[in-house]
Amino acid sequence: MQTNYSRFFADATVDVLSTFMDAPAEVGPPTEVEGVSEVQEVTVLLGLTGSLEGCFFLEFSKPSALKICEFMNFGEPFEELDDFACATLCELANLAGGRAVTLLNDNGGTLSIAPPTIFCGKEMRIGGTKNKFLIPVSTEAGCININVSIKNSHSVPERKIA
Amino acid sequence: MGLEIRKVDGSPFRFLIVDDSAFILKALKMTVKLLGGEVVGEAMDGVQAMELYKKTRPDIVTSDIVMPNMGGVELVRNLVALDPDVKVVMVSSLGHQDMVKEAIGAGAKYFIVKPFKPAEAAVKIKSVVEKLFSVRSVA
Repeated sequence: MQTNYSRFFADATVDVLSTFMDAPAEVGPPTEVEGVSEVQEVTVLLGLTGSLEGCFFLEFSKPSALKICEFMNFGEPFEELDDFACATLCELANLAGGRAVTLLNDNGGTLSIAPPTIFCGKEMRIGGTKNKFLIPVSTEAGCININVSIKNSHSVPERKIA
Repeated sequence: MGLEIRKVDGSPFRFLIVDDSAFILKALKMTVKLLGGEVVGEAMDGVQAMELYKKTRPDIVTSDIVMPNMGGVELVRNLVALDPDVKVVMVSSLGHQDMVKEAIGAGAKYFIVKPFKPAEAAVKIKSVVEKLFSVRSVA
């Protein structure tokens, strides 16, 4: 059941990226991750509240993050994760999270998202998450790891489309 | 297809763009540029937008829905109270349809959904501008 929820976020992220990239992204199988886990050096986290509670976060290597910024800004190259690059990545998480929540709410949920926060640095680890699933997504800009950690606050119907 | 439009006197349309995302503001600036328009103000919330509207009196306002301090629906209400002829285009993420409907009920003229490519947004905004104003296309 949790896997189905994480797939909403992967599909939403792919939908958003399709606005900016020509080649379709490929979504890999979800893997359950337990305990404290290492994350890549650029991570954007977005909180979820409502009928499901938890968080959604996107992880990138720095080169992938910069390349995604380039795609999202219509070919403008990025060499550093400056304020505007960070704003671009936060907007990606915001748009993807908003879209996923819309899909979940269309299926009976009542969720809201919190504003995104970006973390940059090496050897970062994230803990305190429950029922966390990781879905790798392969894109023209490199791999993005999509993480969804959700616990049911109230029941949400199973996804109608597999 | 040429996207550039001008007022009948040949001057560019003047835009106030409102969004709390620097990324979306940049995409909107690219959109306005494709239309041959002029960005006369950029605001990151409704409060800033109200101040800039009074100062700049733009032809068109584009506004996000969810913003700090004053959101898009309240902004539309306040703008309409200030200027019943205001032309507002909402720029919204998927999932805020109810608030978009509320904004349109309050006087907004149209909406576009985020994310967008500037060229696609320009086509949509051009068609709205052509309905709302007398325009001159630029060859």
